[in-house]
Amino acid sequence: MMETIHISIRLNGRLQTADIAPNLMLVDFLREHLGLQGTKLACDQGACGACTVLIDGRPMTSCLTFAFAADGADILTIEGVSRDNGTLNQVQKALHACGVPQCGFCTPGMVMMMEGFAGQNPHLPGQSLETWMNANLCRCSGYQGFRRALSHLADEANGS
Amino acid sequence: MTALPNTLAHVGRSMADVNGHDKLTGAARYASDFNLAGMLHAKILRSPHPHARILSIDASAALAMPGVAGVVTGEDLAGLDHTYGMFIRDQPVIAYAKVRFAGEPVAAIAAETEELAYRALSAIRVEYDVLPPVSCIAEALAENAPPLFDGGLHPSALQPPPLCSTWVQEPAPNVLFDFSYSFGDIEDLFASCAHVSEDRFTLGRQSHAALEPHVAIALAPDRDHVEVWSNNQDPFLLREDIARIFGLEAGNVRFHAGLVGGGFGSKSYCKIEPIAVLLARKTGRPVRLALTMAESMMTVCDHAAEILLRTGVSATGETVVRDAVVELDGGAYADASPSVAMRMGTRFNGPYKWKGVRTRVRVIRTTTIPAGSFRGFGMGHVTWACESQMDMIAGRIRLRPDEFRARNFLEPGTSGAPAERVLDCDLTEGFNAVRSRMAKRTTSSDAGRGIGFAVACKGGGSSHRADARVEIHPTGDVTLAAGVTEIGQNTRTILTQIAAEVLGVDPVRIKVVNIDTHATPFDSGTHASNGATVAGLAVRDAATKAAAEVLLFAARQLKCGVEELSFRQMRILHGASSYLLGDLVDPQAQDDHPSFSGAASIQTPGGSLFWMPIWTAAEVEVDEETGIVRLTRLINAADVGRAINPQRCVSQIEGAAAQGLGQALFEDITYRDGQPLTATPLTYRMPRLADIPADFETIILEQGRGPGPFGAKGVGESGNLTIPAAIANAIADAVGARMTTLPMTPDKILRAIREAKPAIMATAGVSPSDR
Repeated sequence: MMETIHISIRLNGRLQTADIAPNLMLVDFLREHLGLQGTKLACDQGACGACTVLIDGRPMTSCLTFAFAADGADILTIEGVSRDNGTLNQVQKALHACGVPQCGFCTPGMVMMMEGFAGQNPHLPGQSLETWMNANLCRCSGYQGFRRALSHLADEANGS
Repeated sequence: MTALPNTLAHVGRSMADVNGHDKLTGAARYASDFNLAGMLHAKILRSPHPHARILSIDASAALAMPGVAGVVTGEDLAGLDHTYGMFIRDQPVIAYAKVRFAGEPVAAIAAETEELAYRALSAIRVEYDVLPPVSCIAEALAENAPPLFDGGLHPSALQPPPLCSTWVQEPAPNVLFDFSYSFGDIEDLFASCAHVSEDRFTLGRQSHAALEPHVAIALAPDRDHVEVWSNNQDPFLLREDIARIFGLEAGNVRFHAGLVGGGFGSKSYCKIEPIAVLLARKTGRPVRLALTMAESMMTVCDHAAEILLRTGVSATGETVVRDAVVELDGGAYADASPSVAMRMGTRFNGPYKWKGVRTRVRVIRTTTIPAGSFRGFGMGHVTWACESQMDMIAGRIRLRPDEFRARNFLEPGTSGAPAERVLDCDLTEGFNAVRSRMAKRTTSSDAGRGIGFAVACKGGGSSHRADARVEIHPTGDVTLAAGVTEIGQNTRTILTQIAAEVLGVDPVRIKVVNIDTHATPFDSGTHASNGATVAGLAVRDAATKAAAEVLLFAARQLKCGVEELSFRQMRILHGASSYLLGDLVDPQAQDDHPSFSGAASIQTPGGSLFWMPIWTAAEVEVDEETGIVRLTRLINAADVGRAINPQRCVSQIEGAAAQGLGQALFEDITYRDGQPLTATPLTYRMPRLADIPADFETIILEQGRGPGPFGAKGVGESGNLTIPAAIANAIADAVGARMTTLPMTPDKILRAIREAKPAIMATAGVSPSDR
């Protein structure tokens, strides 16, 4: 039996402790151990971004992150984005209105990337969200729905 | 959008996806999120060799490992009808005696965890007698080429060939299928032509690479019953396949399907499901077989191909006669290749008028990933060759490419070939829409910048059966059940809008249920862009019948004639009075919760039910020093008959166009020494946001001639077809280099530029042969 590692994380605002195998990936910890299946496992190679979660505010591919590496971190998953009352936040509303979800399998990762950008952007002036979103693959949409949502959000921010 | 006047409440509106909220919050559940208590996890041992005889498999060490519950190999196929394939059944459920491509499943293990199953794979010992690979069409057809199969015909379920065509199954070693189609006196027609062009085109091997990999969870509670949860888009076809393979009653096989994370053809027809069933029957436990995306890419891909196209035109530039000779690389097994060959073989006339067309499409077996259906079913291949050649011919006869096209378009209401459905769209209107917009802003005078056009017209909806059931509950809720799979085309939203329109109810009261083959009305598969049109008609009719049931009931309760009543917003209107349906139900009655149900079934004939035209204008910038092409502007127009949901139509065209862009510029599973080099998500380049031009416009035309509900027709398979040829034509316009091989990678473009401009290169001190 493999030795286990004790980890303690803040997951979607709540303290979560666990004893985990050292080779457990964060995506499997979330999906299989904790039942948080909103985070999607698609390419399993860090190429598509479907498994993106925020670790201390930074978007990371949870398929390439060991669960133990998240010890002590603050983790936000798609379940934590709108969990207060199940209503969509501003980013999700813009995506919904712009017709984004097609098959929907890339959607949680895309939402997390956009959330991460919103959180990090004050510290990273001059970065563009479009550039960040190159990290994530969508095979259904041709990305135009995302572009429309970004433009919609920009209009909202400018008060128009 | 050129829209029809819309007086409808729900149809014609860009309603957001009915599952959109759940998809955005992570609450949406896919087959890959499904768990059963006591479930085992399966992993597959795959052949490292492209071509080999299996001498022995020793799995005893793997079986002895802790947590391993069962192993299956080719030996477990004894007594089963062990092969599958859409028309020709040549693919064993798991490799049997021989492997025919690198990555073919050789053994599968079910263990308590996925990790234990992975570990146990390495304990299986397989002895191979390695044979030479057959990596491409030329190698497969070479004299003394090693045959993939030992001869003899495989069982088949081929339908009689369509009019003007013949086919031969497995006519020669390494030839799976030979399809011929012809009308007109071909050689006489060529002799009459003022200009004859003969050009060769090739295509790489595109991967579907849907984000959700294939998954199947199988349960076999006894020897006679099987239950499967999978993300296959053909649950009803799968039910038949599993029943046949395992010798079960189809009624004892139950398939479930919910939301599917993309497919594009990769999840149609039988795939991994029998392996999961085999393991479930062997272990007596539920088994989950979840592929990685890399494994999914090794399960099926599109056909690499070579196309020789000979086209004759008159002195005045009229299209007269065309002869196409196609070799499709079908990979190791048939999958849907015969169907692809038939579809493309009858469609080389494209959107133009011809006096004669002849095609021969041969599917060649190679030791590569089995090729199957891909968005457009071969029409992407046809369009790449034909629309590239249209520009080449125009150049040779000194006509503008757009003028050459415009003067040869088929006219609405006419038929392009014997027995073919008449054209239900206006090709000139659509072409003018993209041509005028591209002309408005772009002049191709800038160095390295050019524009190109392409047009295609794919048929849809043929030989399809779709059933639907609509139930109205006194609570005001509506249940909608149909067998069409939700795979990202937002079919549930479209069907909801149709039912809402017919019933006059708020769409939020309509719930579309997951597919369960024991309960859901039949559907012959989510294919050929038929969801909105064919399933849509079934839903329309089922909703109409359910509403009639409500009125019959209300007439009894109100003791009046049914013709005095109408039903809107869950209210029964009777003269000046109005009653909620629920209020008419007597709570004292024995049946205090009646439901009012309507069912309908639509069967379409063979041949195209409707045409999906697509018109494309592309603008590119070519860097003549690097060969890098940047798509700077893309305009697509599509006729959808009537848009049930304009936004969803736009999404289908945009998403397909991105796949066409990938196919045009970089997507290709390449092989070296029989091994795939790019069949993983990291090595297979797919379009990302930065690849998509910011100037990207999609025009939805409503030409009003669709056979579907409210005049709708399908739209899902058109948007990718034209992109490669439009880009190639734009490159030729920009730098004079003609690309004839997909993908058009920078190295190929540089070579073509050097060949096209030897004089320029010579002055720069570079010889054309210098690479």
